[in-house]
Amino acid sequence: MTSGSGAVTLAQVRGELRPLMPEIANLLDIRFADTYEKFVDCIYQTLDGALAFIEENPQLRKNDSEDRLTIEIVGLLRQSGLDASHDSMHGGHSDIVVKRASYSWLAEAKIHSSYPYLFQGFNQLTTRYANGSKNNNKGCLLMYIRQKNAAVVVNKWKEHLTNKKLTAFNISNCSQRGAHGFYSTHNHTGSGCHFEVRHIGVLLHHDPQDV
Amino acid sequence: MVEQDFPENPAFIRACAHVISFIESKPLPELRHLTFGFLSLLIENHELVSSVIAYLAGDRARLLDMRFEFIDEDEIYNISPEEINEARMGGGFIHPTTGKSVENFEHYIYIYFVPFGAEMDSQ
Repeated sequence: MTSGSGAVTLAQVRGELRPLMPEIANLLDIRFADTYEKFVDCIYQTLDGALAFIEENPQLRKNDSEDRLTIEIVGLLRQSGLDASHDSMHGGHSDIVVKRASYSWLAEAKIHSSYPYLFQGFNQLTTRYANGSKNNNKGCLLMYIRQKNAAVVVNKWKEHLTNKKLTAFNISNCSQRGAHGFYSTHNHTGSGCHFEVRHIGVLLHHDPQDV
Repeated sequence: MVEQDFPENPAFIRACAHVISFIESKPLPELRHLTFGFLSLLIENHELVSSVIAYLAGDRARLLDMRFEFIDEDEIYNISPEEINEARMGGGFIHPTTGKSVENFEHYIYIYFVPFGAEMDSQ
């Protein structure tokens, strides 16, 4: 068992081998994340890959509950080396929690049925679970969208949220998700500091017209 | 723990179990330098190699610890993640013996694994 027997270099994993071993590459990125911002960037890189996998086959998930969809995402995060957990009982924890040392990142997940229901998730994330401290001031709202025109749903949700007139509220684009995501920041009630939420519409519509 | 983490993924549980039982069956000195290639031989389903190793070496399972070494021909030096981070942040990587800056240093830093928490400094 020497270094020559199947050893790989940092350069290889970060470069040519990344498509072949994305989980190891993500693990490396996490290992080198020495700020909260880098930690969250690693989560989003992993999460984006997990969502791409889920969105490939919406027909397999058309009857899945909110919890089941979320548990699948948690499993994919764990397979990239993240300490991700899920609380199906919603007993004082967010739907998804990822921790590393003093860092934590939370996500709430909702199957879209109405905008007030999404706002309930947003409020759970930002007022019940996240304390808004410097190592816990970013989170995510996952919106499982089974309806057509997910871009319209995301846009209407953005308008709904904007109309809530949250303190110091701002919105910015999400380059990874395009029309199916955006970022918001607002003043976290508890901490009095900015809290960032990444809003992601997960595309789960399946209604083939060829039958 | 693996069963609890992946209750509906028996193939993944089986693949993890192969690696875990190998580690549990060997004395520590035989586990002091597990390469990615070596670990991949323990996992029959090649599609699961990367995710199984990432899970077992990740923050949740913490069964394997990812380590780094700088290899310059016959010389091998253990390198900490902090040293690598400093080099990547702009300080450059300084050769431990010559004191000279190493260009493209990530091409000479190899990844290996040891059981988590094991003291393996007697290489």
